[in-house]
Amino acid sequence: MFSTIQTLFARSLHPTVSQETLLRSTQTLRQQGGLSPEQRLMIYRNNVTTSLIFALKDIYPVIVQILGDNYFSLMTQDYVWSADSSNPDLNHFGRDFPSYLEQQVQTTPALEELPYLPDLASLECAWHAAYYADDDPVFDFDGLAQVAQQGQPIRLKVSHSLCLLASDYPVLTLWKLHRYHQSPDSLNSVAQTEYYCLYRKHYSPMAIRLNQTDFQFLEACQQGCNLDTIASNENMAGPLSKIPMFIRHGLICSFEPE
Amino acid sequence: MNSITSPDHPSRYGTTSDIKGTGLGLRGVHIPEILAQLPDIPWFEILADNHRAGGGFIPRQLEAIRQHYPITFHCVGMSLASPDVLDMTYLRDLKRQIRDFEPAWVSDHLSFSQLEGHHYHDLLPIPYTEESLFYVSRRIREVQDILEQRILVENVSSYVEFNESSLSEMEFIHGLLSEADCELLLDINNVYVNCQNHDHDAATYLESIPLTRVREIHLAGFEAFPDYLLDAHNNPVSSAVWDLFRQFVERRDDIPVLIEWDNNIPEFSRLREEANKADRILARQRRTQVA
Repeated sequence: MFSTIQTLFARSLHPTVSQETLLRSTQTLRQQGGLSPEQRLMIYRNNVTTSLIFALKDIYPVIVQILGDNYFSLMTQDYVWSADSSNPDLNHFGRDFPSYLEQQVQTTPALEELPYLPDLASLECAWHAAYYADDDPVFDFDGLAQVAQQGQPIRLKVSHSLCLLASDYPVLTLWKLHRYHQSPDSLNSVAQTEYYCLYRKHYSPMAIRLNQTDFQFLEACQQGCNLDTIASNENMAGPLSKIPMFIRHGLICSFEPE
Repeated sequence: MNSITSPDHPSRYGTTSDIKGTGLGLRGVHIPEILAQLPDIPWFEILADNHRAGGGFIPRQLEAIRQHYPITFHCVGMSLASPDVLDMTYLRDLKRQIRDFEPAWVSDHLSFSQLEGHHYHDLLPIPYTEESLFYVSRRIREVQDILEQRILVENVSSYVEFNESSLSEMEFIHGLLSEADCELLLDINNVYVNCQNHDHDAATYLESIPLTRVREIHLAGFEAFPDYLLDAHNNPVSSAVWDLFRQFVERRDDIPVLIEWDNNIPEFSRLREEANKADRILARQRRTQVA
């Protein structure tokens, strides 16, 4: 009985709850004072909605700036109830918001002129994730030398905080413009896709622009390709020569023999 | 309630600490000022769920705070009354945090926040019955076994009561303290909010508190709506809650007090004013006793 009441209660907080479930849930509640049981349930629904929107605003401050606080709150009212909420850590909430935003941009006339919003949201999400990411190990150069001597193939492992993004819009420039109130002089439309890398250096998230081959190299490492496979692609000569720099900047943090 | 034994029996867990006086809930926005000025605050309560990051700035900042102040952990994610199985990943992470930062104690709420794998990030209410008492007590004992320490359980604010409830909240808490061998984090603001929302008498409620099992007191501010009070932690402690606090300290004045202020967070100095007020009330009570 106990779990049945709880299940009814929690399910009835969802805005899409059926009338039948809502009715059954309210029938488990005492009639008290000036509020009906349904109104009392709505206090909880509103509390959950408000706290999740608040969490989203913390992760996506530039999207809030662009859309305005009220519009953002309205737009995310349904999202917060449909979003993945399987992690007790609120810092993990809203990771799928860029996908939701993409749907909104495609279906909402008011957002038609802001097609870059999903990519901008991905950048903000990556920034937030980098801030909270686990620390990386110190690179084991001696171990690498030992493995190299033995001629074993290895995989290079990228930082826990690393996120690679590609966009047809100058979202890094846009983001800096809003975040740091920079001059818009540098804002130009891009003729080709831009590639970005977000990661944490010491305690601060960083966002840098990459060329396409460096992006592809880091992407291959992230996907677990071994170094021999990567080197067999002749386009990778440039990035391969930059491995020491990638290690120095913390983009590559360890390796594992295959 | 015949099956419930006295709440005052000894615990198998030891709980000793240096936490005394009125502490403050640590909020990120205040940390730079605190670390720069090292104000004379007896202890801080840490929202452990906000400091779960495995790396980066957040744990370093907490390490710095820990070097200068005693701390306690306050959690929202144990979901002590959830029908779901205990979240072992969450508890393992919490145990790691406890090992790393050595809080004097750990607390969570008499509520559930998770159902069918969905986290609501809110403190949802439960019916107070013999069945739920048995169930929640068992869960708390399991958590204490995993964490290898007694925990504090906080009475929560609520906006509903269930027809199924056969016990009052205080009867339930008495039973829980006994059956689960946990301690009570008494939130006096929640007592006031609930009594207003459900037309109970707060003074009578406080009279029935098992004094020897209260380990910590929370004071916070609510937001008043026309038909109910919302436990919003966005205001100063109300005069009605201060009155209840005065009433409580007449019976026991040696329990650590914590000021919570989580939304519309004011300047740190304003938080300290609230703590100073609590300390003045405690000092006046002690003078009265001496006289």
